[in-house]
Amino acid sequence: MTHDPTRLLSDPNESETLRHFLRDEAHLPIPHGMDAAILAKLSEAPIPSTSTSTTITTAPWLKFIIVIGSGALVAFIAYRTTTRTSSTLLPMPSATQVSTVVASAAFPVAVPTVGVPVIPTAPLQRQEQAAPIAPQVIPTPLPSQGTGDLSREAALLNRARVSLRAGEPAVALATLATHAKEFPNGTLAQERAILEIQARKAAGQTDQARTQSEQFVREHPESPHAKVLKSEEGKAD
Amino acid sequence: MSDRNDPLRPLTGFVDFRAVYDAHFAFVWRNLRRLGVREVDLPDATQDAFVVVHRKLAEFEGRAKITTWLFAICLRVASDRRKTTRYATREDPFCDQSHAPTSTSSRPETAQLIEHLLGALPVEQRIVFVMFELEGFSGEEIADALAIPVGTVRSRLRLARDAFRTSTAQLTESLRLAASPP
Repeated sequence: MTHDPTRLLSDPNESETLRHFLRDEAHLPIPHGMDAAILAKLSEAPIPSTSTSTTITTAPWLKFIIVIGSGALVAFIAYRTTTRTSSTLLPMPSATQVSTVVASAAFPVAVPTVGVPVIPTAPLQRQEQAAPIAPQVIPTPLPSQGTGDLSREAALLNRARVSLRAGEPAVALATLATHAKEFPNGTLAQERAILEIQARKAAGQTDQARTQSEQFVREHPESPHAKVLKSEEGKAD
Repeated sequence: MSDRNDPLRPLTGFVDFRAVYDAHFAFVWRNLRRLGVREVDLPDATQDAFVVVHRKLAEFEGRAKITTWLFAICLRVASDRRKTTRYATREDPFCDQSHAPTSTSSRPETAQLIEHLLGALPVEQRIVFVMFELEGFSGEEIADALAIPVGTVRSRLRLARDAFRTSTAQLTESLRLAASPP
């Protein structure tokens, strides 16, 4: 804008020391490979699906208390509905209402899905048949595409990574093929390519691995992964 | 700064997350640092910022520059980090403060000096100073981003400049004294 003052960096009347500091600030380095490292962390961490900003890191013990507390509350309500059938009783909140209250607690808790007791809500919708509820544990499914593509992408790549570390490159390749089918141009396509190269190497498909590696470097010369691949190729030669 | 040539300018209403990440990683990193996020917290804070970017990217309408939008995300993340750091520092007497800006560390000396200079500014002035002097936003863009009048932007900028000049002069003088023989 024309009415803005001259920036300090461009103002010859400012002291050279001050402009020197500002110039240096603009060129402070970022630790080498940090962008790739953070992207890898992003691909490993499930993306929270809550709409609030990720502002509060909830302590594990607090999550535990909230989960246990909500379970106890629902169980108590179910118990009351079975033991007190008189029509003079105060109206009980429905399971949906209870769930809403629990879910809208003051803390934006992303309740973990791994091994967490899941409170079934269906029996509470028919209160006359409700019984004390025993929490059940469900296996962790891969997030569906509807819950956030990056989350599912990350889960697939994690699964491939785990298989690869467990010495099962064929399983890893199959998982990567699933990722490629679902997300041909996914956010983590580069990471998939790198894992595929590693899996092929582990599976003894060295020629294919090398071809893919060379192709990756050609297509993504500026990628931090390309630099790693090039250095690995250099060592192999 | 014009983003007219920005390839990520949302012509079709769709911006690819990976493209945003690759193009603006450094922008997010350096502005989180400028906004007072400790060096040791920068990786996590940057990750937090891009989690928000991923979640909100579909809502980005392109009415503002993407850098303005990203800066707003950095502001929120940095603000949260400052609160967390203050809380941790106050509550935990054993909190590791070895990475506090004033401590000696292996970071380049220039970085520490600049951190000291920016850290001397009140947060509101620091934000305007960083946006105008270091990122080249215009006064009106800053006013839009912060939802304050342009006059307030200029006023904060003037105060920030005065404070920055004073701090720089003091720092220069103390460095000169430290370097001079006894």
